[in-house]
Amino acid sequence: MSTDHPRAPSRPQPARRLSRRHFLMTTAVAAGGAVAGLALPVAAWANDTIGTARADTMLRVMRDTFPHGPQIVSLATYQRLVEAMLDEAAADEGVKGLLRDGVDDLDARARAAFGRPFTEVAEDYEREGILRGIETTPFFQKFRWAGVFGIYNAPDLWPALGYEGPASDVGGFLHAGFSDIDWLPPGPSPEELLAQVQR
Amino acid sequence: MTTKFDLDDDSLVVIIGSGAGGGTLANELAQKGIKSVVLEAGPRFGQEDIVNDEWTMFNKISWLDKRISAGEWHGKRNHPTLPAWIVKGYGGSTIHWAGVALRFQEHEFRMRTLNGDIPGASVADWPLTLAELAPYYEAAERKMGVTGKTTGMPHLPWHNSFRVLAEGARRMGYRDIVSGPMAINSVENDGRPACQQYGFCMSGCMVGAKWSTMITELPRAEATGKCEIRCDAMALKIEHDATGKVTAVLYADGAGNIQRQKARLVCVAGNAIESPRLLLNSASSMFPDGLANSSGQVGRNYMTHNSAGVFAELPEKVHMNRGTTVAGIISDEARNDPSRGFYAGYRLEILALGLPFLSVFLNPSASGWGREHAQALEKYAYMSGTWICGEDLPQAGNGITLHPSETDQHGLPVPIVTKTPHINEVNMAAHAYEQ
Repeated sequence: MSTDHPRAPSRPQPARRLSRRHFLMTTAVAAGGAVAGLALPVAAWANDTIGTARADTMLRVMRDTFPHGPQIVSLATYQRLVEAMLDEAAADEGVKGLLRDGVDDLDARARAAFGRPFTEVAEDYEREGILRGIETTPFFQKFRWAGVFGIYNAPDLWPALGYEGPASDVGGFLHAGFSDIDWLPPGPSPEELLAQVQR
Repeated sequence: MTTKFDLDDDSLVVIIGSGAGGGTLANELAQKGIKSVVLEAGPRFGQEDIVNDEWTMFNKISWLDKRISAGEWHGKRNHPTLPAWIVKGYGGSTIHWAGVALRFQEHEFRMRTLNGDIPGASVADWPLTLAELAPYYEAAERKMGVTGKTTGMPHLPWHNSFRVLAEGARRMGYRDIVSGPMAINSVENDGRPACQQYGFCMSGCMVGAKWSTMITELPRAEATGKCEIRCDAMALKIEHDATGKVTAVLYADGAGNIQRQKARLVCVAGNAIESPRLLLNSASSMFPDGLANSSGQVGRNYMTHNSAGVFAELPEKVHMNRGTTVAGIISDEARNDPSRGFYAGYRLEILALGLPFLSVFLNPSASGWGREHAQALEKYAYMSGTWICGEDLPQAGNGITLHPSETDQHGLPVPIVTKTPHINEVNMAAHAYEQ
């Protein structure tokens, strides 16, 4: 028995190739703007176990959980994260139920507050407000951890996010800018550091 | 390296745990020719297992067997099954520690005398003084390679992130701003290289500049032929004879089979959770409250540090990933000065995390998501972190107990780790956040 603390998928892992259905999804959403009520190509989530509309809602939730512009995190990346959850749901009835019921609950909340399903709630802050109400649920935390591992732990996204990754690539930063800022006073010189430790 | 002792060899010292305590003891005994076997619960690790990857290393080295967080602290909500982040494996948590090697301060030996009775806390004076301990501190600092006066090794050069914190501290009027003492080589020492400012200190040091028993005490102990480090060996129970003397340790091997290692002496050097758990699980008809527990104090007064991370976005790039995780310490508030509204003190230290960890630790609660969170993370290159690290007070109710029904993969009761902050810690944290 081990803790149920979320685990990062192991790395290095090759980036999953974009499938045809990813491509269709991407183009459909790019063309249609908001996913809401959009008649997506059937191929996009056709084999999906919880239905196309729910998958669309999941994509909206994923993007609202860690919203970044497309120059930093592409729509295809968010889609991959949702797809991974759908793959999991296809193989696990428990996950399937969690996602199906979670989306339905979310839509019920959106309808109660705004009179429309979640994906049709127009303002970012309004959708974030709905999600804040369920943020401690296992359903929502699944999206949070999917983003933690799928976005911030994804080496191909690090450059756009300003993170330099493994220092082993440069042999450590001692000779690669560990103390290169010029807008603050420098630290002590080697002589001063040595003087500090004299008895 | 290949020394193997017999399970029925009752001339051995059996040491439970291969970290700072167990690993050090094993080598000290081995150098004196005293035979020992170390039972290490986790797998064997070596330098080649360390990579610059926060989650990969977290998954690889962490103690992830089920534990339960209890009490009124953030851990109960934020990581209910992971009350402490420690290591299971060859070298124990010395692989993961950041290397901060501070000594106790003079006043910390006399907290009862200085402060009197503190309601709710079990504070006592130490029965020894800093002066009495000084030779032992010096011995440890030499063995571990701690920067400072004992070794003459200069403290580490200041990286960007510490220069940011130090400048802020200077503007606050702070003066005690030092990049040590750290058990990280600033120059080549003891066969290990100087720090190359990789960062990732808490994932394990890739170059071996940071002291850990994984690369020093344990291989040296094994090289004598007098010490066997037996990995994947989870101690379950310490056995004793009719006179109450220990005779053997039951453990589960890597295949899950129960083994009995006979022992002349047993040294329990697990960690603050597993050591009391083992003693409590070793209860017998002769010692119904657990071994070494005639005081009733086993598993009580669990202390963790009064700890919080604060991250700031700076006007220019900092690249806090470029360099050691915690090598920058500001100690102006470390004194005991109850006029501030709390007893004991705290330090402000660098906390340089990579983006993968920061995406969680920026707000480790369930609320760590959303537009504001994502926008902050986009500014990663501009961020710098500070760790508020203060003393917490011992409280009898904070501690390790055994779950009444839930058991682990070996059939042992799961440990419940209870921690509720004392009002002193709340007041200290308020002061530190204000500063």
